[in-house]
Amino acid sequence: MGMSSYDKKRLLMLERRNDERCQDQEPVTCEDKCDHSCDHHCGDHCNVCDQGPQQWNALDPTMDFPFGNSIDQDAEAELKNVQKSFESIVIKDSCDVDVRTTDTQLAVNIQVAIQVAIALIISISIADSERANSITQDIEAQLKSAQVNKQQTYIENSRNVTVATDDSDVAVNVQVAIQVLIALVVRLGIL
Amino acid sequence: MSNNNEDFQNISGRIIDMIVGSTLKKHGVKLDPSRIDPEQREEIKKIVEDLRKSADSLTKKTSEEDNNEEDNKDETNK
Repeated sequence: MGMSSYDKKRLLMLERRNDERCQDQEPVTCEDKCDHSCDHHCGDHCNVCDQGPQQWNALDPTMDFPFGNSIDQDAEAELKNVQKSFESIVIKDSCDVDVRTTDTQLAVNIQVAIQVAIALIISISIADSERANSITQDIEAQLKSAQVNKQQTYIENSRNVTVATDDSDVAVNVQVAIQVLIALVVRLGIL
Repeated sequence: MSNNNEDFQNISGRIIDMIVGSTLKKHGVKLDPSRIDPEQREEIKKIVEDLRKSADSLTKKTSEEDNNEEDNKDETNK
């Protein structure tokens, strides 16, 4: 693979810059500043010596990954109940069209309320709050569900059409959440 | 049809109960009813009942809509 003219120009520019720098300063080695050995000269960046903030470079194997080697998810593990409803209804060149869709927002609100109730009951009935938190997360994480619902309706050149769309997925999730809540309440002898 | 649905509700309820139980066991914790005073107990009972009604109404609404549509179709066919 040959070098493109752009690459050549860039390389030349970099070399020139380095030459200029070398004329300005005495060549320094990192050994002057710290106890590890490396071949950096002319004020080049040395990862170990340089204390200032550096931009992370993916090609440099000596650089630590910004997020660390392991991503600690435990603290932030919360209920990830992915529910996406994409609903699009296109009505074109039509008249007397009646459209009825389910209120997804209402279902989601009910579900959130149930989840909060689950967290509340666990936190009340378990003394250790940290443990209560992790139990709540555990229970909810096991019930996490991903649902993507796509509905597309296209009506063209029509008259007197009634469209009713349902999002039953949301209702199912609400049922699961309420069953968890009931399981807890029954264990506590409340119901 | 409705009978099947009820059976399924029972099964999923049992499974979820087991999940909850095993999670508590895993953490070595038991829910302590004595930590909840009678007032809280009543309040929780009301909250759970209300939430259950809301959840049921949501599913019933969707199934009722389906039934109504079917009834309407039947009437127009007659």
